[in-house]
Amino acid sequence: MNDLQHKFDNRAVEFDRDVLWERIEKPKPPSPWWKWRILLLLLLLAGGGAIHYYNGNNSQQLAKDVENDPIVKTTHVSNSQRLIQDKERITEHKEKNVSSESSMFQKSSSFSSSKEKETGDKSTRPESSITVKDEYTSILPNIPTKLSGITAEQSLRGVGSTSYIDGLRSFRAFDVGSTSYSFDKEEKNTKQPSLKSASRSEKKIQDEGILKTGIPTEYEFIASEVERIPLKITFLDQTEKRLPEFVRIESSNKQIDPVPTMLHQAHRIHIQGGYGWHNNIFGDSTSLRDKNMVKPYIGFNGTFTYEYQFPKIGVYTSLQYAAYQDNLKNVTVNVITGQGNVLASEYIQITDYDLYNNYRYLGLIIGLKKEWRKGNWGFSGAAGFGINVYAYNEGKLFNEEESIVNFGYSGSQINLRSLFGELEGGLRYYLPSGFYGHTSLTYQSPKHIHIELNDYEQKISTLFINMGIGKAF
Amino acid sequence: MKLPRNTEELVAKCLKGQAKAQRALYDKYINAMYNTVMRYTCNSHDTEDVLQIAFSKVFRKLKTFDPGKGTLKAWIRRICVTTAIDFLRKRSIQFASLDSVQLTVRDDFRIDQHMEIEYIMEYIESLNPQQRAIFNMYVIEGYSHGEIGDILGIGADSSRVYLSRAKKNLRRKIDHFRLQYKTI
Repeated sequence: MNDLQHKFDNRAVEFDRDVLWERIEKPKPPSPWWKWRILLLLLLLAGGGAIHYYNGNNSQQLAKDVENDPIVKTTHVSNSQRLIQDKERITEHKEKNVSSESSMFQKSSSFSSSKEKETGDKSTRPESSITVKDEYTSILPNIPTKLSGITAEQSLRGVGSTSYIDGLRSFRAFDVGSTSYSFDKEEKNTKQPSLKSASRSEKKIQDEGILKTGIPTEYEFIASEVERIPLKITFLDQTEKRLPEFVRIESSNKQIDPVPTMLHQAHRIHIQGGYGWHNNIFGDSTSLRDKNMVKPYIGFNGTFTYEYQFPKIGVYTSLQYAAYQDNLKNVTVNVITGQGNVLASEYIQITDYDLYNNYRYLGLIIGLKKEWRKGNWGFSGAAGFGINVYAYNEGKLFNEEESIVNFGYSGSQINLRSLFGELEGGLRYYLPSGFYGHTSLTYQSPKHIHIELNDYEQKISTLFINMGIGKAF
Repeated sequence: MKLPRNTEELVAKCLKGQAKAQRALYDKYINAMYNTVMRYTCNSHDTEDVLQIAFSKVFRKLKTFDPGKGTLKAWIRRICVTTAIDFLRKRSIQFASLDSVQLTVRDDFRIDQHMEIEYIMEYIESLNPQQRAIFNMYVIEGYSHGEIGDILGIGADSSRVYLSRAKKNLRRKIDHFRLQYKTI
């Protein structure tokens, strides 16, 4: 600096420094890293809470609807209908040989069960009904046309009762963007042992019908009982599942430098989940898997993931929240022999069960992730393990005795012993701004949840499709 | 908050967005920069406009400052000068390239270091904007003709021509002033 410049620099000038200072644009301090991450987490949790609140309200409404309409569902399963038609044919054959002798039907003692009191959930069930398909009502005035209070367990305790799983696979599909996922495929390995026994029962009835020619009394009951724990199936609006618009903004193909830390939130969609097979922990190997055909419904699921990239490999930790419902469908066919009659009487009782169960859990996962970059695209593979830090299950299922039991309810004791593994394959598209779109497929090994109420151990194996956005720093 | 003791610490804290460090940097250099810009714009209103832009650039580009290439003051001054030149260009003051053949002016003018700074300022203000800018950059800021050519987008020879004309005008004004002073 020359002397002249020095003189000029020290030359006294008069101006309002504060006013000028206010006019200057100063960079503000970067917000602490945790601020907007916590904001994302809060949004995630708030979204989940809102959806659950919404589901809860609709569940109550559905429950009211069911109470007002006790006959919710009649037999509609094709196999069951076929069985009934056969039985009708037999009945017509015997009708020709009806004598004037009548017999009084007495309600079978098999309809009463102390189990009903034990379960204590009768009040929550819709009034059951049995529709009498009977041409002899005029000569059998005491035959009840509507039996109330028959529980699922009672129906299962009928003499010679059999049950089979109808192999129901209701069509469940939802769209994510332009992609459709269907749950319509059949499970090939599903065992249906009860179906054979049902056929045997039918044959037995046929034989008896032939042998009892000339014996006038045989009545057929078609009982329909629907057990429903109503839960709203939440199909999210399609617009919510589409990737944000800015993901589709064309960007330059310049190479993006590797970034050390990344954070993303993803919405998770179950494509398999709640396939829970429920084991009695005191049983040896009796699995209830085949008795409970469950299908996952979409619920709210989300992850909040933080990654740190080392030069060769990255580490990540995720907080996962999953809440979903599954649907359990079961059909039982019971051949009930009336007791106290001189003449034998048999009834077929067909019951459809349509149970909806609730699952929620919060998991913490850590693992390693390797990503390969090609231009703006990133392909990744990850492996990790996690632990459930919270679980909530509510619903019913069939146990090995083919009785419906609660496996959890609000406030029930749940022992979390859930340590699980996770594998993930992912795809990302990085934007120059540091944001990236993210999609991945995640498999999580079965999570064990011990419900002390009924000494059940539940395993939930899940497969997710994740879609979300993230920010690299 | 304890104010930074050295420039590096000041820069580091400014980069963290600490408002007090930013104000400290502003207070430390604003007087010199005000005088620098004033020599180019010659009015306080324009000077403050230029300084507003220049210091905004300083804070925005502070992370690109390299202490190995010069002092922070020189770096800030360079930003202020280029901002002032851009400001003049927006006022339709163009720095045209001049034919080097015209470079025939005798270059023996030197400003008397003992001259009052206010007089010098007055002489500088009397020059036209182009000559004044190049005179400031070469004589006061100490830039080379090559640097001036790069800043103004003209050749180094054109810078020399402008500077020679500026000196010629200044000499004439100073001689005229001295003549008047002697007459009085």
